[in-house]
Amino acid sequence: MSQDTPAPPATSAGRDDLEDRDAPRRSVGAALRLVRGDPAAFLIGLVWWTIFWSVPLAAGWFLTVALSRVDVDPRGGFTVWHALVAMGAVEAVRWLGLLLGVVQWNGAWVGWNTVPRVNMLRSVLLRPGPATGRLPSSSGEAVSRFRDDTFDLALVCDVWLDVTGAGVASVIGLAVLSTVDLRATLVAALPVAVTAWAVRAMAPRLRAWRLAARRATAAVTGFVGDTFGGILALRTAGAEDAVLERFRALNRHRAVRAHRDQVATAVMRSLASAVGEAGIGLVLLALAFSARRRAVSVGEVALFASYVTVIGSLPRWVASLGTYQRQADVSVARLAELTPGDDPLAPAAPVPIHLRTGPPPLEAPPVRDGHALVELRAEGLTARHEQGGGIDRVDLVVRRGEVVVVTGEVGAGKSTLLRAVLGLVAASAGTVSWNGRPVDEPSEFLVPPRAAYVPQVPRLFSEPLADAILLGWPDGGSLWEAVRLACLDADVTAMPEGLATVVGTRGVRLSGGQVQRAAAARALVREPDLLVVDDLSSALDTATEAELWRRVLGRTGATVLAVSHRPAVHRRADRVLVVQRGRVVEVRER
Amino acid sequence: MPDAPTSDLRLLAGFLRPERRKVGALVTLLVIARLLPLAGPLVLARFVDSAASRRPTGVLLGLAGAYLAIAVVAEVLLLAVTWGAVEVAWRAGNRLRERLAAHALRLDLPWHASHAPGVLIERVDGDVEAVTRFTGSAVADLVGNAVLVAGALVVSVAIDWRAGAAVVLVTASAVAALAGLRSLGVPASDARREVESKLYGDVEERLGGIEDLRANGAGGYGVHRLLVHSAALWRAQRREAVRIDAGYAVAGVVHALGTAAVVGLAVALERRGAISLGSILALARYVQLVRRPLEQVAEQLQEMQKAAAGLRRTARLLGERPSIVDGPGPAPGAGALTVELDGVTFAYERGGKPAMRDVTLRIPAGAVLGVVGRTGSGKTTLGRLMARLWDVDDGAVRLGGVDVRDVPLADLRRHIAVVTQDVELFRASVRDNVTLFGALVADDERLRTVLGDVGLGEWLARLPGGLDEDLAGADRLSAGQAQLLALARAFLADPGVVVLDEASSRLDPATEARLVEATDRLLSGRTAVVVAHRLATLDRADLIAVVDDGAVVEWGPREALAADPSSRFAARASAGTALLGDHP
Repeated sequence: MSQDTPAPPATSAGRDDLEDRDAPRRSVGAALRLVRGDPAAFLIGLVWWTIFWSVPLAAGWFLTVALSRVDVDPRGGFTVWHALVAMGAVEAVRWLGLLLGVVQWNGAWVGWNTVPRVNMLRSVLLRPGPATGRLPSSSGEAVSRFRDDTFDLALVCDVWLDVTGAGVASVIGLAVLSTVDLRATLVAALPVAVTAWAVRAMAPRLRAWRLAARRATAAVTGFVGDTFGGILALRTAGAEDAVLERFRALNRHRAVRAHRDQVATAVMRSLASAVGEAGIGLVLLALAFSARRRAVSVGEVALFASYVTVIGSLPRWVASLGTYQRQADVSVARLAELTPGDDPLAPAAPVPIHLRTGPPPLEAPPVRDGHALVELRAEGLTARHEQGGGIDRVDLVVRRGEVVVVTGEVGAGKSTLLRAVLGLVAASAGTVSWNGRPVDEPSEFLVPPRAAYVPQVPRLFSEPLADAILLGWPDGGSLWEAVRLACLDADVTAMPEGLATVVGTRGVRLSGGQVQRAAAARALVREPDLLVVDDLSSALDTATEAELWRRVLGRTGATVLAVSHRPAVHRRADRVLVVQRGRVVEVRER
Repeated sequence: MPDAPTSDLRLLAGFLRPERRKVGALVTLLVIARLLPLAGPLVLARFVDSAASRRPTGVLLGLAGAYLAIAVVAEVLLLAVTWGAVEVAWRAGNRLRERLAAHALRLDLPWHASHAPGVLIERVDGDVEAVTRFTGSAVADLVGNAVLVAGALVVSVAIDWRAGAAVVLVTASAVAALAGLRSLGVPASDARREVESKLYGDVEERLGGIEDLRANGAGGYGVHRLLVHSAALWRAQRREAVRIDAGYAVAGVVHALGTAAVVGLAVALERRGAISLGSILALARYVQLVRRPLEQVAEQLQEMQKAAAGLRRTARLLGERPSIVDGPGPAPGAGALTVELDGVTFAYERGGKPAMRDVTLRIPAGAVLGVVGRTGSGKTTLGRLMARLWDVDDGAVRLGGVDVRDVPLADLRRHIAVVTQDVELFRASVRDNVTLFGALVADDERLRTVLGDVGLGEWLARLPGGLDEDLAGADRLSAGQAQLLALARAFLADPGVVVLDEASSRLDPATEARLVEATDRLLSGRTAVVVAHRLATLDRADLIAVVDDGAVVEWGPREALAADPSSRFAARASAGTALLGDHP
């Protein structure tokens, strides 16, 4: 479906880690599993494209019949005019049929892209275990896996349709031609073999060049994103010229690699098309020899010329098949990195993707299970970072209604402690227990309604503020109360559209303090037994922070585990843990 | 900076002007390469006629060989064109990229605040990519296909004007069908792209907030959103397919019927002896020869629209003018400078609420001014105006007695360093992060010393790659460590004036204490403005300014203010209340 395939992404930014030159040949099996998820869509496509590719053979046949009857039109029966009407008709019907086929194909195409996307996102967001290390690199880089890598794999499924269609048409064409002139037919088949060989021979080099070009591109786009993200620092230091010098060097590097890659791709493509055209020339040579022994008719030449054109398209698809499958070998590995222990294309527990109707409404969150918090206890909790730092054998207890504050130096491990308790980072040793019962998987267990979390640098998503706070949580009238507790009520009232205001990078930009308070509202609306709050002071001024704490702690029964340096908060604390180099060095009880 | 070109064509012309000689040669080569295959059907016709009239095998072999040679030579020529075109496109594209980057880097900060880095990647790379792709391959294809179609029509007419006229008619009808129906597809394509960009944007945000989602039990919500977007994409893409392919289908039908009509006409002509049998075949092949190029021309016109849209955005970006430009000079002298604000009034938005109202301050050379006040009271603005990140609306800011607007920006920024609360880090080596890609000149020895001075020596020693270690974004540094690194930058810059903007607000007391010595050294011999919430940070201030709602409500020597029980500063200092910060 060359003409209907969506344009490949302009830049494959972020795919800079494609070092894996010898990726195992996994794309064929992967595409097979993907296709098997919805076999009907693939089979219908197969039938459509086979018909689409084969009809020109019929049209060519009718042209041959017409030409052979120009000078010897039989009286009555199937005349040259009948043949021409038939030729026009089959082609016209073929093109009208294309419309139906294309709509069906586009549905299948979206399906092939959606299945791995949904499985990857499910794995990243819902798989039990720590949240760190789920993305091999930045989120921007990971998006290229949802866009470019699923694209590459879907392209394999797609090219199979074309190869099958063009292949079947070629076989039929060659069979018909062989009844006319066997030697010329064999000559016509030669180009397919030649191209297939050339693609194989060039494959490793082409791939290496493609990877180099993509890495160079990623280096450029990454640099642009970084420097404009850090414009203030560069501006105040007058570093503009230094930045441009570096940009120029990266650009030069990229141009050389991109040029090599693009020319090589063009060579492969033109090899395929030239071999097709040259095929006609070769057939003519063969027919010239045949003409010594017998008469070569115009119909015969017309038949060969039109069929060789059909057969001549096959090398291009064979070449694409090889190229796409090799590209997808890398992609399959990259997709699988996001779904450790499972297959992103055919997971152990497949989920419906509901493309036709859209998904059913989100399931209500789990109801409270009666295990209301009495006591949360961490014992010997240890979590180390690769680059050093982390926490070491930390003990911690939070009882219902208590406020426990963690304080300490920068890099002492305060945030890590909170995240280890919640299971967001992997603990290498120690236990977390809830009401005396050890929690096997804190990341699954310490979620609303048991616990909710306000990160130090929260992320607010681009959607109406109400949705950004609720995140699918049912609004049982608690939304406004949460907004009020988080001291966001005045801000919301000032917004023209109130809670319907679209916020985030694609909406109204909130200030750092507003984001932090919205994140607090997000946690509070869940009415958690345990509220876990990382340092609020980084974006809130003292007065606002104090007011927020006053409102939150004013609620009866609020149980809080927080990182804070503010004495005002320390004064309200039942217990203050001082952390130093990952150890609790002092516990101040009230 | 030269004036930005205003029209697309001028921009495209300017884009290719330095390459014009090469472009000329490429176009010539291209025309030859695309006209050559037109001889194919003629050779085929001669072959058929020769075979029918039982000409010697040598003639047939010669014709077959000619066909083969034409096919091979045309393809080789096309490859040569591709080689050259891609090279030209990249050279010109990179020139434009660099021009855009240079321009954008100098635009005002409010402009940057309203353009996310992702958007700028699109402007500086994505749009240029569309242009380079267009000039690199699509222009060649577009020109080539147009030449091919025109040539096929001319040759058809030359074979027989009646049959040729029929070929022209068929081609024109197919073009009309494609052009007429193509406009149907454009809104549908836009709609699909819109859905797609929402889908990817949403995925990127969710992936960036894994912890936010998981710890708040909202993972399922994230997946649900993807399903909703995917179903929307399914609908949009199918809708687009019908509309886009309606054009192809109708053109295909027109073509199929037209081919039959042309061949029928040719048959009638042959029977009257006007053309040869082989010419029927040649005409049939010409009709078929133009079908695919016609479709491609339609596709490439779309590419051209994309490229033109890219160029328009590029031109718009180049048309943006920074309001903060170099002053005529000369720069103030070296060393610590007096800093004066003289009746300064400033609002971030024109006509908006002023962030500074008639502020007058004077800091003698070498003195340290501590600025206190609530968040949003204007403390941060004060520092930004001194570094001339914004221009004042009224009044003047003077360094060493020279108005900052009268100084070249590069000179001004050599004299002043700003340490902001949000430290900006780059995915580059430690060395590049500290020296800002070499803008601050220092050898490794000096870098190590400076990093040690600010308390990052131990951290540096732990990095396997040392100064060459890639910082890969902000992942490897805690917020406090990042702030220490920003201080190291200020040390390297060695300016006469330092603005420490809430530099210690994220640091815990112990780290702050470690910093005091280094900061004291940074401040000594320099004029400094220290913006802070905390009184502890202000111990080394000679002067104090209390800011409220954009106005300086109190200022004077710290000791005098502290000693005056009626001063706000003294009141806050003793109470340690919220206005200044409640640190002990």
